[in-house]
Amino acid sequence: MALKTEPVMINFGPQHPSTHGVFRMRITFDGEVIVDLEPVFGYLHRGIEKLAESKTYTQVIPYTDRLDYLASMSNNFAYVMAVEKLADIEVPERAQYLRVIMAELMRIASHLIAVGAFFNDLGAFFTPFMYMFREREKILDLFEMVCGQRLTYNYMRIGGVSHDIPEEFLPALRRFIDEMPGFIEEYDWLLAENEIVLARTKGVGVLPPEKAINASASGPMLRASGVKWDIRKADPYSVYDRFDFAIPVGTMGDAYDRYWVRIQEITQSTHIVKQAIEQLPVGEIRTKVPTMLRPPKGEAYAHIESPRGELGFYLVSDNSPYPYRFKVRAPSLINLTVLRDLCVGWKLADAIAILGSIDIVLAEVDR
Amino acid sequence: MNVLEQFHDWLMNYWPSWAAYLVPALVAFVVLSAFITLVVMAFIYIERRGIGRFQIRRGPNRAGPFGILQPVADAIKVLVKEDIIPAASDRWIHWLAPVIAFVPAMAIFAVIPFEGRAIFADLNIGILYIIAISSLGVIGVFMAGWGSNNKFSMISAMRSIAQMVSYEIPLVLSIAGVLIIAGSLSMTSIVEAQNVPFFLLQPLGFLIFFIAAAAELQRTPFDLLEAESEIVAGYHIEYSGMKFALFYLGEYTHAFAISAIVATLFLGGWHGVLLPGALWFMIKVFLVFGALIWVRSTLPRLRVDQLMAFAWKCLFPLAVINLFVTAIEVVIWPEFPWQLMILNILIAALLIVLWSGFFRVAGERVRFKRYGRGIGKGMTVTFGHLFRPPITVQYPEQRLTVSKRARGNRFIWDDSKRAPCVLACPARVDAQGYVTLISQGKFKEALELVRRNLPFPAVCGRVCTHPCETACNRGKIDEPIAIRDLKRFLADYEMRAEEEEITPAPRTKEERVAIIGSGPGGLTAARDLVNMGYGVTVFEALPIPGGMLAVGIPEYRLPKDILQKEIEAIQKLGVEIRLNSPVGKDGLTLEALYKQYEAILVAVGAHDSMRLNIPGEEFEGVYHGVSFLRDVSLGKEVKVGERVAIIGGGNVAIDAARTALRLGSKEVIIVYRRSRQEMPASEEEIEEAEHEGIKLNYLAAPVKVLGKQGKVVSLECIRMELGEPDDSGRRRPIPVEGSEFVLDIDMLIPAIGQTPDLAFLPGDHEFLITARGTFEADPASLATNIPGIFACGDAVTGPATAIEAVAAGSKAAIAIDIYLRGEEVVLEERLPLHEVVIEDMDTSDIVSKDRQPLPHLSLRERTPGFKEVNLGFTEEMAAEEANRCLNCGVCSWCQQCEKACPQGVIKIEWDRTQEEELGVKRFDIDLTACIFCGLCIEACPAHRLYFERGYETSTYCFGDIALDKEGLRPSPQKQPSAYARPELEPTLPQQTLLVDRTKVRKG
Repeated sequence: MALKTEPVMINFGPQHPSTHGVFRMRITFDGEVIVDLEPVFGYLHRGIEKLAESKTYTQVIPYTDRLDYLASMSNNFAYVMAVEKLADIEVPERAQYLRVIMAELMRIASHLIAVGAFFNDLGAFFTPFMYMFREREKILDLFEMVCGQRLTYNYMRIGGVSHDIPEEFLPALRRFIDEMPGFIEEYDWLLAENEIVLARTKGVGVLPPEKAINASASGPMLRASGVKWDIRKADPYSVYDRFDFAIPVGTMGDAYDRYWVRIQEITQSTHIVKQAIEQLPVGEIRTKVPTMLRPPKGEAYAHIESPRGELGFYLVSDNSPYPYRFKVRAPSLINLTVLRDLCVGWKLADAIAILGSIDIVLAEVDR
Repeated sequence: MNVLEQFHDWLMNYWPSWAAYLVPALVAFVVLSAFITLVVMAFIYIERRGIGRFQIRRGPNRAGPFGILQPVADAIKVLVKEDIIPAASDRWIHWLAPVIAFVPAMAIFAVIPFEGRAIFADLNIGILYIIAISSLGVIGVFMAGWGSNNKFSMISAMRSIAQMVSYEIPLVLSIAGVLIIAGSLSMTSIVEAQNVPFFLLQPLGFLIFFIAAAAELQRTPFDLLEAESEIVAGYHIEYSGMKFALFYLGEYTHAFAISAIVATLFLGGWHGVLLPGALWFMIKVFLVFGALIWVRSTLPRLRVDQLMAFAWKCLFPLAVINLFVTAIEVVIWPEFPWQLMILNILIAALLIVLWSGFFRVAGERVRFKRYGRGIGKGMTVTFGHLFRPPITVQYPEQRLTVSKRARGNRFIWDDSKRAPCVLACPARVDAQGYVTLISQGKFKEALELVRRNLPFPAVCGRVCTHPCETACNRGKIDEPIAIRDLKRFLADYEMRAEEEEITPAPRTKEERVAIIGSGPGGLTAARDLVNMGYGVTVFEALPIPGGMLAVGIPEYRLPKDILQKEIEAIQKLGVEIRLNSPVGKDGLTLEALYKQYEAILVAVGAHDSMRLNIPGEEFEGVYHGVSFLRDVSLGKEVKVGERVAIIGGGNVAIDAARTALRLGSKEVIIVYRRSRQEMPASEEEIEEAEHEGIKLNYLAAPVKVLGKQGKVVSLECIRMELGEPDDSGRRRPIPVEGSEFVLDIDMLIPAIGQTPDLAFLPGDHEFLITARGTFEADPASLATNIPGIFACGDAVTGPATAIEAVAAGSKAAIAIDIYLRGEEVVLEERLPLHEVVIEDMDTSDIVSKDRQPLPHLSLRERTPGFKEVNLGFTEEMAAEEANRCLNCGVCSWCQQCEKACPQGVIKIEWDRTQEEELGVKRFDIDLTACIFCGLCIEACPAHRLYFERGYETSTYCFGDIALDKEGLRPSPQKQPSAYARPELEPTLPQQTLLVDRTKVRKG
């Protein structure tokens, strides 16, 4: 007698421990094998792009904190860059360096979370997560020193940054940067060669380079597929052209490579911070900009390499104190578009692993 | 012969056989159950604490010492939790499942020997019993998964069967080796057979058993049934309260049982030296469990196919080989000497290495030729962390400040200590606010702040009598801040900057208001009413608007074009000004207005000069001060004499004198009956007059005007002396008998005061008029005795200053608004407004610095003509001067924070219905909606707002997650950044955003 079977559809999310927020996947299973996957998002839509149209250019900055809340500094950075481009504002050297230091620390912190959460998705019981939180916590302490905040920093300003660093900052930062390679080695010991990790991630969710480019993927997602594309090198902004650093790329484009690339990028970020500390000039941290800034009529797009990929802000000004249009190119959203292709044919547990390896932040996906 | 049997035999002597059999069994059952429960609780505690330590956390540390009562707290929690049965579940199966999952785990303990004689039932097929019983638990799990009617639970149930079927076989096969060596199925016999613990003789069997047992226990890396990150909680999902607790207890009882079996089969049971056997046994049990915790805190989870592949392709063949090897060994060496240990370890290592070469997982994609090296590395890392200091904070040591945001509290501050300059100003123009804004170069914001209460910054910046400067605290140190000149600077700055379009205020209300008189009071009221949405028409008798500002203040003090510009701005808001429209003439009657408009404001000012009432006042050459100034302002031809005497000591007298000088008089004398000290004119006006060569004749009063042919020729005066103070507080002048003297003059300008010109009223009007000839109006509502008609300014108070007129105008606007809305002006009980006095402040490190000298026109350039004398500050001078401000008011209510807030959570409530309440009613930060962006802090010109240090951290301070800082955070004595402040003074309330009441920015 032949058993009659039929596919079953299961909702993963919007309330689910591993959907990194309120993301929902409608997955059709044949047993444990994924037949189809339909991503559903929008549960965290707050209308920030519309809200921004009724805020002054300065008031928008704290809202950018709330897009990708794991990389608030980067969001601040990209946004103020767009405004500065729009209004043609020069930024003092010291502020440029401070921005780079903060953005790279942010990248480290964000990648630590991404990797930690990824291993939680793989079923590790919070151990890598806690170890990585330990280091992230130090970065948050550093941020707290400069701006008093630990998650939503609101640190960058149009024409500079909000505060200069206190004197305790640089010694603490140096100590952190010196310690970091040891911790990275520890992570590698714990995870990089673990047979279960290899079995769960090697060859899982392979994104071929052509597909990655076609899907407009960016960030570690794209580089894991072997495409050497980093906006810090491809279109150097701020003072990134003054630093020497490498772009780590993967070979297979699988979940393991995405994890590996992130860990390598942490190392590269420490190199950048180290150089930035050495070159850090003395001087002003902010150009004087009117409170009610009225950029001339026009449009501007500024993009940076955020921890998650190309983060761009597109602004249109009608010479009023409020942006006429505010649009975010959110890397999480665009990286997420390949999810179905990566998951179909894999098993239930792989869908979670693949989603974790993409490293999404729902606040950025939905805005 | 175990303890139970001995007890039974002893009872047999006294009791019938059934009782002797039953009672020991029951007693043993109760004791055993209690013991198991105790151990399970210990397991739960150790697991949580242990995983915490592997993860450099402290684990539970709040319930009892070292968190030891945590399992008790958990138990209480699950007992009182609501039991939820899903409506669509299979109720009976759902109900029964936890019981079936729990009972078999308990039943295993029947055959576990805690010590040689401490065993419930020493079955000769003990191990067989265990295998049979322990596989029952999976039925409970499957029932739970099925009965819950939940897809995640169902996946979990299916996985449980797959897992059980796969791992039961290597498990049993690995035991078989032990059985062959021991030659018995009885647990006690197996222990007794272990002179050398079997894990040394059966290393491979031990490894396989341990791995398979971990799978049976659904522990990491085999926790696929629960798999929180995938299927949420698997079969647990639909269980709550005690039923969930049964599963939970069942799992730990099972873990205890399996650990006990491992200890019995492989670790030599109760064997050990020095310590009692039972203790040795329990030590071994806890060691086994510890190893399980270690594994759990290191490894991620396998996938379902990998899980099964591992069992079938790896464990199963190895277990079979192990069984055969053992069997051969037993055949060759029936005694099984301990030397075999070495051989077996070698064989195990060889097999693992060989098999790793064959074995592949993940659909043949990953060759597993690593012999578990990576897992081993990982295990060393986690083991190393076990001895590191935890990074979390111990509960009693950590400061648990419950955050205001978490509680949803609002922060309201109702203190009203304010800067003296603001309180001194009749219109409550926020001097502290705009001065501090100027010091930061925020000129636009400052001007906006001035305009909040005052529509004439350019005018008042020139002619105001500046009570604010008189009150200024800085004046008690060196010189007051040049507040008026700073205001003028703002107005000049705006004129220099490119003009901004003024959009008319939207008309939202139907009612229309007529305002008679376009002086400062009338226009202020008009502006405020238009901003409220009313239609406003202003009727002006003269050909130019501005009232006294236009015709009372000479050009050299207030250039006409500047005044007109400010009036134009008000007109652009939507105020209609009808010039040359005297009420009471040409058919434009008050009655007609009363019918046409819903409300009327009489703001006619005081344009009628008071008479000297001395003989000769009717001679030609006697020109009353106000008329004189008006005629000059209106451009009429006014002939001045060579020698002019001015009577009076007010600003009008000085204005008249300086005007006469500019019109070509050779000698100008001001006659004033008191001394200079009592002179009401402002000090710098007197100084300027003296500077320009005007003579002041104090303590003299006119007695009569002497004339020839109807023209003035001289003035007879009398000397005065000062007597007792009168009602106004000034000393009363008393004529000195016989001290008359005569001044030769050809023009006399009496300027001793003005009254309202009431000629516009109809002859039979019903207004109440005071003895001084002014309107009688209610002090709170400014309403006259005729409903709908209000009066304000000089028309009510008699001659006063421009700023008082502005204050009266805005008050009238509020009163009219209340009247038109049909409400009554209610006087609330309110806290009095307090002033910051210099004694309250720490002035020790203020460096004395005089005010910036104001550039003036040189004397030569002043006459003839009416060029403006005062030239105003430059930007640098203004910033320099503003920097002298002591910033003494706690908050100046400049509203910069309110404007900066992107969330709109800062609200400053205004209550401007009463005199004292032109100020703030409430300052309110809604912390439930505050996003802590800190933009308000940056916007505050007085630096009064800041975050309490560690606000955000305090929200993370609950439970375990508050992380130790490892010295990264600066010590609390140091001020780490502009935002975060060190610990606050203990007197301050525990607020996050608060206003520093003690600190005064040093100038």
